[in-house]
Amino acid sequence: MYFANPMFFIFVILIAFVVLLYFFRKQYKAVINPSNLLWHQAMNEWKASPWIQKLQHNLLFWLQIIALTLLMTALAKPIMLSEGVKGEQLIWIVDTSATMSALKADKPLIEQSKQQMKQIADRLNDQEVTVIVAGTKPKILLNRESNINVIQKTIDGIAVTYEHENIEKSVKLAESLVSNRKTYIHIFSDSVKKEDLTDQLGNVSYEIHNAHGIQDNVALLSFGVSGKENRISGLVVIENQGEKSKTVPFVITSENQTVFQQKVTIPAGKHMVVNVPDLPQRRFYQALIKSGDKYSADDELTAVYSVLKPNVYALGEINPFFIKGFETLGIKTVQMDQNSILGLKESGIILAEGIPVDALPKMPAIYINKKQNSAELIELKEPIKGTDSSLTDYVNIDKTYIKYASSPITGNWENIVDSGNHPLIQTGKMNGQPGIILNFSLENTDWPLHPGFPIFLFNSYQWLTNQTGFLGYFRPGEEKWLQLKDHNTSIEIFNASGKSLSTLRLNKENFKAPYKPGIYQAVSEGQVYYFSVLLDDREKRPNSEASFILNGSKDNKKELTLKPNASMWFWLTCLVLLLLMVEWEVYRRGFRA
Amino acid sequence: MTAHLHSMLSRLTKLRLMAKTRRRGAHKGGRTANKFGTSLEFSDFRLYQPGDDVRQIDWNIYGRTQKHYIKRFLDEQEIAVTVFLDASASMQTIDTKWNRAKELAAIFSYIALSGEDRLSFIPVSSWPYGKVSRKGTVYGKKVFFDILQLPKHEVVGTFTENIHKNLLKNNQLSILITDGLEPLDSIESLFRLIAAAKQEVKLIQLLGKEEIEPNYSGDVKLIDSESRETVNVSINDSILGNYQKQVKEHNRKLEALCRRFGFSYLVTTDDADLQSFLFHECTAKRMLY
Repeated sequence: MYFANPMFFIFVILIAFVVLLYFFRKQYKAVINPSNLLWHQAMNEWKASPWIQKLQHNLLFWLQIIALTLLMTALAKPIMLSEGVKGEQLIWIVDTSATMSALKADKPLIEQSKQQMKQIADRLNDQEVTVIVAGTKPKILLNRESNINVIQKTIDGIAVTYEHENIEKSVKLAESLVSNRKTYIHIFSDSVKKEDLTDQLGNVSYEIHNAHGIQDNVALLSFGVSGKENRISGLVVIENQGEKSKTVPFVITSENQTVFQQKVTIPAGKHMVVNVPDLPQRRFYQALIKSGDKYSADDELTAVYSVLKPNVYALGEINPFFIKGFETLGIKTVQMDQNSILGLKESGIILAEGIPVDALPKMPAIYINKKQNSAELIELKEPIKGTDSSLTDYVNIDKTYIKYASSPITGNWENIVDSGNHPLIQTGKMNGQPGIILNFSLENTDWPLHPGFPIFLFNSYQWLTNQTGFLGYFRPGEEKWLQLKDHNTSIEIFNASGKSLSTLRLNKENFKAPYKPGIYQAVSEGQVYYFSVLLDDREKRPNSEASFILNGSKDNKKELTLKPNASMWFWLTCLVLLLLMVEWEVYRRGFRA
Repeated sequence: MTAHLHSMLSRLTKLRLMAKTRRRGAHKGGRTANKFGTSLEFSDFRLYQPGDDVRQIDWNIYGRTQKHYIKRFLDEQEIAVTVFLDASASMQTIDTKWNRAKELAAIFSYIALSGEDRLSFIPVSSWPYGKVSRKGTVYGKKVFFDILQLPKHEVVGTFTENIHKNLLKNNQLSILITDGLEPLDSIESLFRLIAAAKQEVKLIQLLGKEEIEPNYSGDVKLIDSESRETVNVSINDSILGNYQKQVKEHNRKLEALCRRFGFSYLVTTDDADLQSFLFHECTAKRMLY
């Protein structure tokens, strides 16, 4: 402890003055008294009485002295030396990966990290704190903040994001933020190893706080379903990462119904493949193990019976530009003949040209309405106009030159692109399946030369797949541009228990998946889509590491920093006020020295 | 003050000083003696012996029995009462206390005189002044008011020092009116002296109200009224408590001393009700009847 304003100690003179005042003040009033004999005895007895009574005798004097001393001390502004935090700038990298959700003493590990951060925050002394959340993409939550309240609030706001932590990237980011040498980087994680960091270290000191937690974990590594020979079978891989063999109940549910149930015994450290031979045909399956371990994020997996990236099956005489276009988009295109397509069990998208409409299989299709004889072709005179649709986004179809178009097929179609009153691109249902009809053939256009052509193909592909109702698999918190039927609408996301999580306006913002793994519903204009958020595979193997310090100063003892205890003078002054009140009361009662 | 004393005088004449002692003075008085005398109190008959007073022969008995009998009566005699009033400085310091002391002395003197006893009133001080020695009811009022008029005067020495000069030999009853604020040793030696003279002693301790409950505050330098010794006292509750404890202790010891010597002891203060003191406390303590 030291004093910020030791100047004020000259007020000792004031106290000395009060003492002097008391010395001189003591003048006795002479009174002639008959009973001095007894007074003598009384005084003798009093003089022999304990000192505390004598203190009480001069109560007012002592109270004044104490009050003045305290006041002086308060003015001198005592400053306590309290334990501080090393470094002028602090960077905290917080791991919010799924493994941080593992429970330890009924609290997630992230809470332990937050607790540690708060403890450090309490000891801060005007130091700047930068908080980085080590998600897949590191995110800076706070930049050089020194307000403790803001820091505490930010710490409170940190939650598990179920992403896989990218410590390496975060550390790089942190290092780029280092402005002076006295920077300390704290990493709050569960499994950071020395080797993970050593090769990229700068001159900065690191302190790694690893929260220990998970010992024996049973994880559902993978779960898939596939259709084969008119049967749907599933495959599950369960791993026991603990040291004891474990028996866990394993359940597959679908739409709140249990469709498969089995008890699985897995030896320690081994994984086991469970084959589920026969499953009823459903859209989604949820595999669940009731392992009762501390880490529950890896106990559930969702599989969708649907082909996520369906192949494109070309039927008939397809213009090679289509095939090339799809291939540049990374979509597998398979040439088929009419007979083999009927035996196809897997779903896919049909790209058909030059075959009758009713010959199409029951699949989403892009149908090119090509008339064989040129007599049926119509020469287009009027400019090409596209309506505002998700299919024509960024396509700029009006710049395309189309010489001849085929006469449209009768049916209930929606016109997407037309020229005058002649429809060129139409959408609708064919055989109960979504379809896109092009009323022209590529030979009669310059479209493949336009950049809009592959975009149109991508849009169509997206549009057709989305019509199946499954949006796909997402990583926790993944953002993706989604192509729905009508991109002006908003989309509302519900979790499996039907609770609304968020509403997104797709024309303004990207689709962002929730953080928690599981199956979700997205509802847009009455149409229900499903998507699944999957845990990163690396998050299925939680492990613990010990905390350590890198590049730290050799003396490991906690550095004492000067932390002015601003409240001290305040309490001292309060005490003085209290003493003054006591003095007044003492004076009122006539205890006068 | 005197007005209410006037009205009290008539009541006081009915009071008598109680004296257990059988010793009597030489003169006629109002108290029955165990000698034969001339009072109306009949004692007995005795056969006439030559030399007896012929006037005492009961002729009625001679008429019935033809024998000469003398009828004898008990005698009534006086006792000598001395009222010692402590006139030391300690008594005179507080006015109310001094006035009350004079009143008490006057009252007891008046009672003694109206009871046909021989009274000696002695204000005990270094200065021989105001002594009264009288007998007879006629002097009652004069003595009463003389005592009340007794002036304050400079005194040296304490009550016990001065009383030695004034002790009377032929005295049956002594009434000491004092505050007793002296070392108990000197009081005891005084008692021993009085007790040796085979007297009956009644001690009335008179204390001022401010001696029992001092109303001093702050820092006071207490100067003793007699010895001029000083004590510096900063008054506070604990000292006051101590002092009052000392007063009680002192009074208790004084009373114990009185009991040891067979003296009657009564304590009163200057603010106590005089009537109730005289008519209740003194009669209860068998000092008056």
